[in-house]
Amino acid sequence: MSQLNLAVWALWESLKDFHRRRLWPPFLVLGIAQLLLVLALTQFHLPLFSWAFVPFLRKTFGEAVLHYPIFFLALPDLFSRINMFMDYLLGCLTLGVAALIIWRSASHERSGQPWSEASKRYASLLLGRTPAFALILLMSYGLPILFSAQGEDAPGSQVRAVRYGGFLIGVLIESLFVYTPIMLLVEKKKLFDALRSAVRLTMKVPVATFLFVMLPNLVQIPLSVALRRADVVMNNLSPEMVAVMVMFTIAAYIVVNYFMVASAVRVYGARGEVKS
Amino acid sequence: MNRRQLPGLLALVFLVGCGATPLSSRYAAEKRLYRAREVLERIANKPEAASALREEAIEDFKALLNDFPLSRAQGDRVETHALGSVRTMAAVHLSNLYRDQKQRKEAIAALRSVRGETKGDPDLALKIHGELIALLSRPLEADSLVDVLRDCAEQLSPADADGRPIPLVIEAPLQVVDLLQSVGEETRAKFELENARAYYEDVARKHAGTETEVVARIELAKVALRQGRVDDADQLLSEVRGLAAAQRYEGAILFSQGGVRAQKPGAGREAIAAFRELIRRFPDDINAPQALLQTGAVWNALGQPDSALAALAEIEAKYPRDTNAAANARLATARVMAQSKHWNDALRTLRSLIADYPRTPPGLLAPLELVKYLDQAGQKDAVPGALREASQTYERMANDLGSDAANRGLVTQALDHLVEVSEALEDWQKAVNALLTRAQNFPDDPRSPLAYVRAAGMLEERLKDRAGAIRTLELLAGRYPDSPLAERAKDKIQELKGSQ
Repeated sequence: MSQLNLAVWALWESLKDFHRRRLWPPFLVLGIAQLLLVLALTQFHLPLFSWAFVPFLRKTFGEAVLHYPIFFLALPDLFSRINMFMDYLLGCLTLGVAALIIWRSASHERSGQPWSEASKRYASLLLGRTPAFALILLMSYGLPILFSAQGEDAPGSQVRAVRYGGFLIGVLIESLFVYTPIMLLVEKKKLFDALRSAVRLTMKVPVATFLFVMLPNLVQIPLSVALRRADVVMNNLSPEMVAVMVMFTIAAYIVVNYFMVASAVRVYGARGEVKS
Repeated sequence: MNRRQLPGLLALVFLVGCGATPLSSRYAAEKRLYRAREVLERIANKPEAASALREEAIEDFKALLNDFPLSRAQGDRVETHALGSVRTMAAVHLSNLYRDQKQRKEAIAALRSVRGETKGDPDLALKIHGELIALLSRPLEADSLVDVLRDCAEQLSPADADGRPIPLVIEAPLQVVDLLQSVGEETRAKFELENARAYYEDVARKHAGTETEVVARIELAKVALRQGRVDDADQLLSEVRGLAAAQRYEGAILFSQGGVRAQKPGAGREAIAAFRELIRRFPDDINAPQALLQTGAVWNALGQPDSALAALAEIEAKYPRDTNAAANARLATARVMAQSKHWNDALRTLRSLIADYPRTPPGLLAPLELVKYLDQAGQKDAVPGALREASQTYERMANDLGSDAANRGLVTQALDHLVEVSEALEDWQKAVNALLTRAQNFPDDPRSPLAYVRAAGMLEERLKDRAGAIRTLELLAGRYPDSPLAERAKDKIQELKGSQ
């Protein structure tokens, strides 16, 4: 019960700070980068981008995806694949900066130079994010292979079980390593110490951590349902609406990331008071 | 490079990066095509705004064709095909829009505008030629259609990549012959028949061992039959059956062979044997019901009406779902019975045909046949009543089916029969109304101009309505200004006006 209270408290405190503009730049940097990525993807046919995207599109989705409007059917999947790497390469930095800013704001410390401090430890932040990235990558490629082994006639309940199971496993992986940037930047620990401490803290408050990671991420469920129906959106509205939906998803993820990082900082700050 | 030069350099990279490539041009063309097709969807969903939307769609497709010439693919083979597909689809849509607006010349021009550039692309060339053939067939523009069909045969391969025949191409030479015969150009038809023979021999030789060879040899047999070389045709078909690739076509070959033998003096039983083999070995073949019908006809010609009736009875028993075959079988049964002077049986069969299959061509013909048999059977008192009943049936049928394109054949047949029955009843006003309905509801039917002429004739001669006759001829001249009948109509109008 105390862990439930801790999670609710962390989320509530995060909500109270929601209006503080100085907390938002790192999240917005990641969001803007993702928006630019979507815009670039929709212009894949221009020579500016085609050299990079066309071979990838052709290899991953086949020749048909290079045609209008079929491209837009593949856009959500395409974006999520590329974004996984953007999240890894850029997200490790921006979320680290965010953790530092929120920590200093919550503890009324002088803000310092979080971007510069985080940049100096970029390699550690990237490596600290690597276990979570590798596990999520493994899951995102492994689960469809397991699923396709069941054949195309797999019952709907099985499809849903794999889909929601994947969501829960993803939340679990995220929960295990959510404190790593804090350990690296706030406690200035070395990489392996930071990873060990992060996992240890998660183990200390597993339910609270799982809850504050899962609850904001629940928004993924309706969004991914909507993105799976890209064909309906395309036929009833317009192909470009699929891109708008992806952009809307990015906006939602900015908020999700905020709640995750801000709550992690709160729980980290309160860890001394936690009784498991 | 200093810092001041950097923005300029970036702008240059951006501009070059946004330039047109074969891929970006084709993608932009696809986008324009998609937008224009959305307008077509709106036309379908909003009939009240169709007129304005049609203009918008026409402009969109025209702009697409102008803005994205094939040269924008810059010789890239894949993109040339893709951009060609977009242009072909745009041209087909544009042509359909013009056709809907009765702008036939523009419709044909839209297709012709991309015809030349599809020569190197068999898929697109087939599509464009198919559309052109359909458009030129109704109403028939014999000379243009002959040109397109000839082009088809000369420029396109008769086989696809797997060696399978492409019907549109391989049937083209004989279609030219049919076309010329249908417009009374017998001499040219004979010449084209010789051309067709040479064409099929060439195709059979070049595609030896494939299904295309089989079809080319079947077509050769058809040529022989049309040239009156019945024995050669039979011999050719027997040889084709021996080809390894003929398996898939055996049903069609047997059917053709039965038909050939039916025309051969003294080969009636051989014809029946071919038809029977088809029915026994390929009961689900598309020609099987027709083979039974032909079997009945051959037995009848051999003077064996009982065997004919037995064969015809098999059709309904074996193919109860094939309403056209069943209706044809009933009509043929009635005719065999009438030939044997079994009038009551023939009349009963016709009545059952009218009741069971009213919306089939034989079902529509049956009321007229009934009148004829009543007359021949000596039941002359019953004829006027049967004529009136037939008139009501045809009127009802024409009204019920309306001018819907799907029922076009049945409605025009019902109206033609209504004219015939009304003439027999001397109900000239009804005959005129039926002719005018036919002409107005089916303006692109090749017999519609003649319907105006017939209506005008009845108005003048039977109803003594010269003003009505003039109005009708003016309609004809206005609607078909290029038709030879229009010139004669104008002369007649002058004549009628002069005598008023």
